[in-house]
Order: sequence, then C-alpha cells, then structure tokens
Amino acid sequence: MPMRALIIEDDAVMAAHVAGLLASREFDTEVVGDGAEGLRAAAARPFDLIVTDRMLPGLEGLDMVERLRDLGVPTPVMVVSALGLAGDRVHGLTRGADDYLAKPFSDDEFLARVHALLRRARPEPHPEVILVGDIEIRVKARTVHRGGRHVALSPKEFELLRCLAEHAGRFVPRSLLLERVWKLRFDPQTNVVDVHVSRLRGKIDDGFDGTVIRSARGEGYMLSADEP
Amino acid sequence: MSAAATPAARLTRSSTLRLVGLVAAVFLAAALVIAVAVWTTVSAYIERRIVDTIRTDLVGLEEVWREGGEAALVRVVERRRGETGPEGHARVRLVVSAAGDKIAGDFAGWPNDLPPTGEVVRFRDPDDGVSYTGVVRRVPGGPDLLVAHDRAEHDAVMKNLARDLGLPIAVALVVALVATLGVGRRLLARVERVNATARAVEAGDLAARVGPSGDDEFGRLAAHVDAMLERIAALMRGVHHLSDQIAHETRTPLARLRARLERARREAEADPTARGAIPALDDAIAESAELIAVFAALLDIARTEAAAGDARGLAPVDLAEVVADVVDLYEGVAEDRAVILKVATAPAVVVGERMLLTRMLANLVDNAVKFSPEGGTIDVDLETRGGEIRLAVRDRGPGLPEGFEAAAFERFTRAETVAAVPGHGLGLPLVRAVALRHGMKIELERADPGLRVVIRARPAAV
Repeated sequence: MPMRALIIEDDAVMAAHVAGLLASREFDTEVVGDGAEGLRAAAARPFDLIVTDRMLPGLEGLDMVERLRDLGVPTPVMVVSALGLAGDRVHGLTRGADDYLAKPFSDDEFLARVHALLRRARPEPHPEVILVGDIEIRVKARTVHRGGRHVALSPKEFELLRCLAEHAGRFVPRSLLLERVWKLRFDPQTNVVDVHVSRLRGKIDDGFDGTVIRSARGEGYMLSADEP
Repeated sequence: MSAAATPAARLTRSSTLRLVGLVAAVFLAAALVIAVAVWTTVSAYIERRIVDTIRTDLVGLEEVWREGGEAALVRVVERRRGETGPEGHARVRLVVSAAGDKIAGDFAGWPNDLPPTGEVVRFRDPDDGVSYTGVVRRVPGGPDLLVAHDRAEHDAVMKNLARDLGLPIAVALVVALVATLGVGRRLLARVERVNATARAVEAGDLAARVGPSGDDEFGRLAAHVDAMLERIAALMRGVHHLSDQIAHETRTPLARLRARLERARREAEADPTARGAIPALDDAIAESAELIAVFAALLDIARTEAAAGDARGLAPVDLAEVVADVVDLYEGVAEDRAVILKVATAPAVVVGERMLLTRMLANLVDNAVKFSPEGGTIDVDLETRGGEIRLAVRDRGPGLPEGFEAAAFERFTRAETVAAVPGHGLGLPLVRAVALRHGMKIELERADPGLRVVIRARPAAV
C-alpha cells in the first residue's frame, strides 16, 4: 500500500515539485495551499508524512504544527521554509516539527531527509546489525567488519558509516551528515566532510578493489550495497 | 552594574575630583585676596589707633608741663614708667631738655637722634633691639617729648586677627569642598546612568534605556540618548522585517529555479537524445547552489546582526566544548594540509546560541587552515583572565595587508593577496555578526607571522 503525504504549500510551483519528488518515491500526495485547511486535512485523515511551508495564508506553518501536536497527531512533519537560520530551525524543532529544511534545497537532500524521517518514525526498534553488502555494522557494540575482517574506526567515522549505511543505496547530502554526525546545522566553508569520508574510505576499502562510498554529484555520498 | 563596584577608583578618574580641586583653588585664591585686603586695612587701622593713643598721651604730657612745669611732668613720667598696653607691651616716654639732655623717662638717652618734627617715626632701641612706633614733639618753650609703643603690640593684634579670620575661612573652605563633592557626585551619578545604558547597549542589550531624568541639561541628554536608542531599535526591527521579506520573496524563486533545473536534469537523464545537456545542467545546478549559498550567508549575517540584543534562544554554552567540536571537525583537514592544530582550553561558560558560536569558531579555524602554510601551526587558545573570556585563533599565514583590518569585516571584501583561496568574503562578516549578537568584542592582531583573531566575551553569571 502506498504511503500518503500531505503537502501544505501556497507556492504552486514548489507544491507541484515536492509532490513530483514524493510521487517518485511511491507516495500518494495531497496538496493544500492554506495553513488552516492543512490543519483540518491533517487532523481528519491519516498521513504518513506532512511537508509544510512556514509563511502560509490562514495559519502559520509552525502554529499549525503546534496545534497538530496539541491534538495528539503524531505524523512526522517536515517544515520547508525560507527562514533558514539555525535559530529558526531550533525554533521549528522545539515547536513540534521533526525536521526543518531551508529553501531552496536540492532534490536529493529533500529525499534523503524524507527517508531519514520515515525511518525514525517507524515504530519497530532499530536494527542491532546493519548489513550492506559484505559490510557488517554492529550498532550497540560499535564494531564494523568487512568480509569478516574487523575495521577499526574512530567514533566519528563509525557514526559516518552508520549514517551512510542507514541510507544505503541512496544519496546522503553533506548537510545531513554534518547534522547527524557532528550535530551541526550549517555548512562549513571548507568541505571538512570530504576529508572525513576519504579517511573512512581508506579504512573500509583497505584490501579491497574500488570503493563502497561513492561521491554523488559533488554534494554528498552514497554507500552502495551492490559491491561484490 | 560595575558602576557601584569601585566608586573610589571611579572618583579619582572622574571629573568630580577635578571639579572639587578647581573649586578649592578658586576659593583659596579669593580667600587670599580678601585676607590681604583685610590684613592691610586692619594693620593701617591699628597703626592709626596706636598713633592716636601716642598723640593723646603727648597732648596730656604737654598740658601737665604747662600747668605744673617740668617738676610735674617728671613726676608723671616717672610714675608711669613701666606702663604697658593691653597685651603687655611696653609704652615708653622720655623727656629731654631743648639742649638734648635726658630729664626723665624710660630710655637712657635720645635714641637715634630723632628730630622733634611731630611725625610718626619707627626706630629700634639700640640697647635691647625692641622696635617702637613713636612721635617726638617739642613743647613750645619747653623740653622735647617722646612717646613710643612697642611694635609687638601691633603684631600681637594682627596675630589675633589672623587666628580669628583663619578659622572661619578654613570652615568655609571645607563646607565649599563638601558641597562641591556632593553636587559633583550627584551629577556624576546622572552621567553614569547614561554611561551604564550605553555600556549595556554595546554589550547587546538593545532594550536598555536611561529612563526619565528631570528637565535640566542632564535630563535632556538622557532623553536624547533614549530617543536615539529607540530609533536604533526601530531600524533594527525594520532590518529584521525586511530580511524576512527578502528571504521569503527571493528564496521562493530561487527554490523554483533549483527545482526546475533538477527536473530538467532528471528528464535529460531519462531521454537518450538529451544526454548532452547533462553537463551544462550540472553546471547550472552548481551555479545556482553557489548563488543560494551566498544569498543564505548574506541573510544569515543580516538576521544575526538584527538579533543582537535579543536574549531569546540564548543559553549557557561552554566555549571549551565548542572548541572541542570545531577541532574535531577540522582535525582531518588540518592533517591533510600538514597543519598542526594546537589547542589550549579551560572551561569558559558564556550565554549564547551554541550553533552560532560553533559556526563563528568554525569560520575562524576554516580561515586559519586555508591561509596556513604547510607545516604551520594554528593556536586555538581559550582562557579566562581578569573576569574576561578570551578566545584566540592564530595562524602563521600571510596575515592581513596593512590597513585592511577594518575592511576585513565588510561583506564581499577580500585581501588581494588571497585571491587564489576560494571564498566570497563572507566569513569574517558572519564572525562579526555572531560576536555582535552575543555582545562580544572582536579584534584582529598582527602576529608576525600570521594573524590572530581575538574574541573577548563576558562570562555567564553563575
């Protein structure tokens, strides 16, 4: 059964774009252009995901999220807003949003965040072991083996690999890695993430041909499962 | 408020003390002029009184001679020998014949050959050195008469006068000084209120006001300062509002642009005949990403600046943890460039927005790494000294060109010497905006070689 997403966005072009992106991931989408209307729709029907703008006619996006949480609706909400300062994001998250993405965003980033959001929202416990090809990640023990051989990683490298593994086969933008691994909500000028990824590559690929971590279009990384 | 902390130290540096000093000097000068005038007047008066007494005495003696002849005169003079004035000073008389021989009196002989002119004379007794004021008079057809008073009598009266005048002057001086001090301190306290407000605003509390303070010059100064602050606050609100509007109005078209480019690329990927367009679309996407990044950085700077003085969203943050986070982030990059990150920290808690502070330090370390020569060292030092937190990042790079310090914080300004290093010149402006938002002070120091950026902050109140 396809998942259902509610898109609350008053800009028709952006609404259609987001709807198109979600449709490419097998979502059924419903678009409304008004905050109050969005609140009514979200409260009336079950959705798996809500994507909302902030500056909306009818009801401000974050007010809408707050009302929704007061009503006990737990649906994961991603706020997509032009107000993209770190303080705005913190504000958005404290008022009940599950993720906060600044406009403009890249398609890959949006999809990676939707994926992460749904994964977190799933009720079943997170897996103890993540398997990606011949890579075995034991989350609790914080150990990594590849082809049966132990790979010694620093704590940050482990977090990096884990985050990539949770999105295996999908593009993970740098900003998401920065947020997950370093808890940073801004993009440093120098691509510090690249250096950390290249170190991780050096360790995980040691003794193997090619690399399991590919650069994806200059803006992020992908851990591919289909390596031999 | 630190105003009350060291009133003594403040007073010595303040204008109050100078005012008190000035009043004392002027008062003393005026008192001196009056004292001199009084002194000369009184001195002349007393002198006249003494001379009057002497003349009266002479007239009396002359009458005695006229009525009783020389024998009566000698008797009177002898009887009154050793007579003194009210202060115990000698009053002397001498009767000498017209030929110049002593007939009777206190002196052994005619002192100093004083001529019998009837004028006032001053002379010194050659035997005991006592100074006298006296008058010599020739009785027509009779002897010469001398009556003289010890000058010490005059001096004693003047001494009494000095004592009687000195005390009131000293009391008046003390009263004037105390009054000046009091008035000065009151004025200082009112000026200090304006100063305290200015300091609070400088530290980031834009809501600080002096408040009503009367209708005199100081009151009007306070009112003007308050009006000025009100105006600044209104301008800040305007900037805030405008940047929100710009964010919304411009980011939405940019978002559409980005969305359309991404869609075009997906379509080009799916269509074998359109594959040739992919590199151009990738370039366009990269360019739009760049544009968006610059735009976002500008907005971040503007909104961070506009948020200066707004305490909302601020919490205690240990800068040592921020340093640890940033070093953790940049260690790899530094190592790749053979740059050594040397860190010395101690816990230092400020009130702030952790993400902004992390971003500020990340920008500084990012710059330091970018401009460091291979094998160079970057020092990141965090210390608390004299009630002030000092966070310093020092590199061994080329430093800033002469006179570039002020411009370095302007948007899009980059030194010509670093044209080869990528960047838009928005790093330091953001650093300054974050510092401003937290009421921190930022300084660029020449380190030869290299540059040291110092952030000074107040510790969070415990």
